[in-house]
Amino acid sequence: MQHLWSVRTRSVATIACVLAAAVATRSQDGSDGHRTASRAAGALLTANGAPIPPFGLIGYLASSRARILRQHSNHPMLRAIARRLGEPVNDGAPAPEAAVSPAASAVPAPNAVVAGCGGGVGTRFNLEPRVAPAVAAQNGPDVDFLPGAGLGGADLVVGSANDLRGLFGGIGDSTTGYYVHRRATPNPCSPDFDGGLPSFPSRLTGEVVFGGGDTTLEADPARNAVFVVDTRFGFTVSTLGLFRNAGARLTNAVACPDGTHDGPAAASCWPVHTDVNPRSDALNVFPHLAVDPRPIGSGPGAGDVYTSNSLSILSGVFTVLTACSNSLSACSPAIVVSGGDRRTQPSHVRVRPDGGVTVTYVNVEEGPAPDFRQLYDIKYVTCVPQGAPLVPSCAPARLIVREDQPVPSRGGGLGGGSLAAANFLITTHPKHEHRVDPSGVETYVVWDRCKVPNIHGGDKCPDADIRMAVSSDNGGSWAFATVDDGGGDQYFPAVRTDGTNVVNIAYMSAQEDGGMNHRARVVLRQISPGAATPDPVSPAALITLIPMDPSADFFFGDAYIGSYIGIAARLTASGRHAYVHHTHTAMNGLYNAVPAPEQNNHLSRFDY
Amino acid sequence: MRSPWLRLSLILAMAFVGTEASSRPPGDDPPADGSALDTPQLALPCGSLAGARFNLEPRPDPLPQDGTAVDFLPDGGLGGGDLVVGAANDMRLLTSGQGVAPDFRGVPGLSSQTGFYVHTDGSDPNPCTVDLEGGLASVPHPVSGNPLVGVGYPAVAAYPPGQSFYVADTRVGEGETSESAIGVFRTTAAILTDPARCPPGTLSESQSRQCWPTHALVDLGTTFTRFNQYPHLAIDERALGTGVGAGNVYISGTEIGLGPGHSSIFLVACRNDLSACSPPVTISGSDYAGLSHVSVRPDGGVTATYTVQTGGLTPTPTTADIKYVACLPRGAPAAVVCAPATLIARETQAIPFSVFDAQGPLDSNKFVLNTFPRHVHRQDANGTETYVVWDRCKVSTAVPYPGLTFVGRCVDSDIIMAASADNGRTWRFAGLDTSAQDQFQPWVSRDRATNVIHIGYYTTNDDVLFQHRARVVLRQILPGGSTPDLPTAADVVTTVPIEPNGDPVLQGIFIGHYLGVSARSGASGMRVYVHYTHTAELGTYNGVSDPEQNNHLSRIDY
Repeated sequence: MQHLWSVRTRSVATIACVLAAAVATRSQDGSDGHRTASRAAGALLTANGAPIPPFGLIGYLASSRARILRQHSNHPMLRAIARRLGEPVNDGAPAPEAAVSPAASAVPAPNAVVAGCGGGVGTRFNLEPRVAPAVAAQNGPDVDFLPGAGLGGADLVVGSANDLRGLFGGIGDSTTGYYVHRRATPNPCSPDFDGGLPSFPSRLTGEVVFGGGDTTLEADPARNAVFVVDTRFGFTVSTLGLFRNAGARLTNAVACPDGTHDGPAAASCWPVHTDVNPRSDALNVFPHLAVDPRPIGSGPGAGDVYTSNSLSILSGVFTVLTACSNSLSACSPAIVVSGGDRRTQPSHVRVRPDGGVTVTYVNVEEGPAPDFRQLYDIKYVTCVPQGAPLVPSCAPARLIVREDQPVPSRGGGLGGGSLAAANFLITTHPKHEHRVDPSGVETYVVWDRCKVPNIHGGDKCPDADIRMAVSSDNGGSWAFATVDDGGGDQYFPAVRTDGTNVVNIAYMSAQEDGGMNHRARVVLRQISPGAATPDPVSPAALITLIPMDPSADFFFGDAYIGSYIGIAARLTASGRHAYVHHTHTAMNGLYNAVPAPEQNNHLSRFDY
Repeated sequence: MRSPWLRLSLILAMAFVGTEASSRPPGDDPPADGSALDTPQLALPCGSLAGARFNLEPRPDPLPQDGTAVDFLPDGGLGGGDLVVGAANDMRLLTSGQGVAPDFRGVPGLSSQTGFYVHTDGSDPNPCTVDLEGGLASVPHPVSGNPLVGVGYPAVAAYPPGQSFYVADTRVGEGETSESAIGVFRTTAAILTDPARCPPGTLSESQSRQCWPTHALVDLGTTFTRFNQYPHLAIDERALGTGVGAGNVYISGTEIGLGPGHSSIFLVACRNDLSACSPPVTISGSDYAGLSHVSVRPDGGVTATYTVQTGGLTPTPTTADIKYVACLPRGAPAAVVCAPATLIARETQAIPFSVFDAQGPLDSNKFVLNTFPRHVHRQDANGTETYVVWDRCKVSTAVPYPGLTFVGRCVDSDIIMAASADNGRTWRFAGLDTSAQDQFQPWVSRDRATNVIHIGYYTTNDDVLFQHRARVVLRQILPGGSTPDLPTAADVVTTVPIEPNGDPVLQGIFIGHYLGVSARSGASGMRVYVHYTHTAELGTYNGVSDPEQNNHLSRIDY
């Protein structure tokens, strides 16, 4: 392996030199530690020193893999990223006209994959035409639904995803796509309308900020509402866009007509929004969202909406938490919940049945030379709600476990991948969920990890598994178990508890790829309530029979398939439904009249 | 600045600078499917699934092999079996010398060596097993004495009248010093089958010197003045003494030198025993040229094809002028005398490879791939016919989007051919495989005994949904009354496709620039060996399995 070491070391040195030449940097106080932090996380430095973390759509668009897009596109967000990276921008090219959405206040308000959704690959959950230039990639999906709130008693299903139509003049120039099913049709996964979350002027600088993807969402059945959060990346401001919509509006064909919404139509359909934690001196990226489902007035924080995200400033990348009222009429300031950790990576926020707010995140440490192997400290934060716009009161983060076999964020192969046989951006990303069972309130944390120590200098995982930690005392102690350590890669676990306290875990698995470890199917496992902590994990149910090839997209190639998949599980009048929103490449686009595969967001439903 | 950086700069420059030439579009002839030969037989147990792995690399922590070439001497092995020699890029430390390969998608710092793989044992029930392997040894520079090490891109040719083999490869100074050359090695069947000189197993560098005792360095230069890459090699297979140039060894390559836009094709003629070689002759005129391929006509005429690539930056798609050069042999070490290059076709739908575009050039694959013509001659009712095959895009690679015209993706690559019956004065065009999905990296070989042309290539035609995993297939062009004659339907060589991303080191950026095909007839009939990259054999990494690249060999009997 000495030979390979030479290969790797020199390649890394080459890449580092290229980046050093391409990215403007400057010397500032404390920059040494800052750069160490950035290196540990594999981040790109912007011209003002704040690193852009190497995950999510923003992380991809800021990477060398997306250089051509940055160089040639006139989209405002791409220009903003290029400017922040110190790259030349063609100011002569016209930017798209912004369809600005003014802010408005809301009125509070037998186990089987469902065949109608399509057992093979689910149903493509967008209305994108098939012919270029109208066709572009969707990935990074999330989903939730309001049981029975659609037309004719159907589930009202809302998905979100990164949507590249927005980079090429479509869906209001937003790269945050939304997709809604509202009709009682034979296929409960078909989209009735889609669009891009509208742009709006930042309340901090006035700059119009466009939907930048990396979106998550959650439904709020108690108030018949849906919340979506995304990243907004301008040149003068970086913020989160937080949107609220009512079930009644989403089923109103006048407010939200069928078909694909342009910018004005999207602004009409999604009038309620706010920008969360707008900053001119920092970058807000990779948000997550949770809603306290309790009836308003039933306790402090009931109905509040929480966002967590990575906040990148000169001195590091921190995890912050914000609390907003259910109407989005007021939000707290963002508070740092990661303490002195300054190399944090994607966070995940949930609400306990008692209204307690919890956050998981990773802080990346580096091992010793010469490998500088990444070590992922998986942390857990508990907070007591105070009722938005008051900030929650959070205890210091506690270590769940030091994951010394992470899926590293620094891709180590010459293709840039962190996995041995797939190149897309991926890193260990813990997600968590609470449920009540005979053991009390249990907390399940799931994450992707490497079955064995990373290879080739520590930046490449030859076999990814899904692992979990479980606590019945709100993080005071943890028990560990395996969700799936089968052969091949398992990754992108998404977790959600239904109304019967069954924990649902959906993820991608390349186990059945005949040893090639490249094409992945979506599978689902469940953890029923029981006396143990953790309770046993069920066998895997196949959500997609046809695997997804992660190398098949006109735009992304094999470099990016989103950073997660989404799952929603709820009790409905017709039983328990789990919707899984995932990326697939089984549908072709037409490019100069020739078909070729491309990424789409697909929806599947599993009834149990 | 160390030499790799200059090399990278040169490679990058080569991709985007070119010269203009007259336009002559290929015809739109429909894809041809002719009548089949007798039903071919995959030579089991070479393995119809993925052939046989043609190296002896242990399975823990393996490294890639790719860029495969092959030739054989029918019945030249022990016990009357074929003597098969393959060569490939091999990232193992097979010799002491490390150097930088000229092109792994423009990634400098990636060391490769030139591996050779030999099947000698005719009694082995598997005619595709490897009995010995090794790395072609370093060769001292004749002036400085510095060792020049092989960094791959090999070509292989057999010479049946002399029962000998030749390999050409790219050579650079060990430790990234600036010397540059093309290495040419010679051995004989007698040596290869002598276990005292070429013992079974993986050879040490000293054993490799015994096994390949004869060598020459051609087109010696430096990284700064004359950097060599992409060699190809052909032999005038006429018996020694039967005509001018009979038995001569011809080496073509790309030479990148000083000055803006200097990239040219050279041709060298060597004696059969490599005792003397001609000076290099530039055959590409003032073209900014690359990707050469050399062949020898039945009458001893020497021919070369190459490309002149332009465009490739939005909004201008990549164009490749495909050129042909006809030369007269003078008998090595006298240099060949060549006519000016002529244009075969202006390929306006060339494969849009660029080192600046990390996700191209295909929709579902990003490995190094260029429109790369290869050619061969054969005798039939029309006299001496010349067939040129190359990969191209089915449609324009300019895909306009608002604000940005993409020119870096080919959504469906095909293989087409040009044929001439008058040594390149006129050409006729036809599709070789224009079916759905991607076809790429054609390699062409002629069986001298039957004048059947065999064309092997990769196709993702069977990967209906994802256009990503490729099988190896083979077509023939039988002698006939037309020019071009119709190709046969494709015979599937590997029913299991390669996963191009299935290698932890290369991760889809490189599977080699080509595969190898050799067709010859022996006592038991016509055999075709195909040497290609596959990922069906798993390696183990910290105890877990993952796919990785290996050179595999298949044999098809007709």
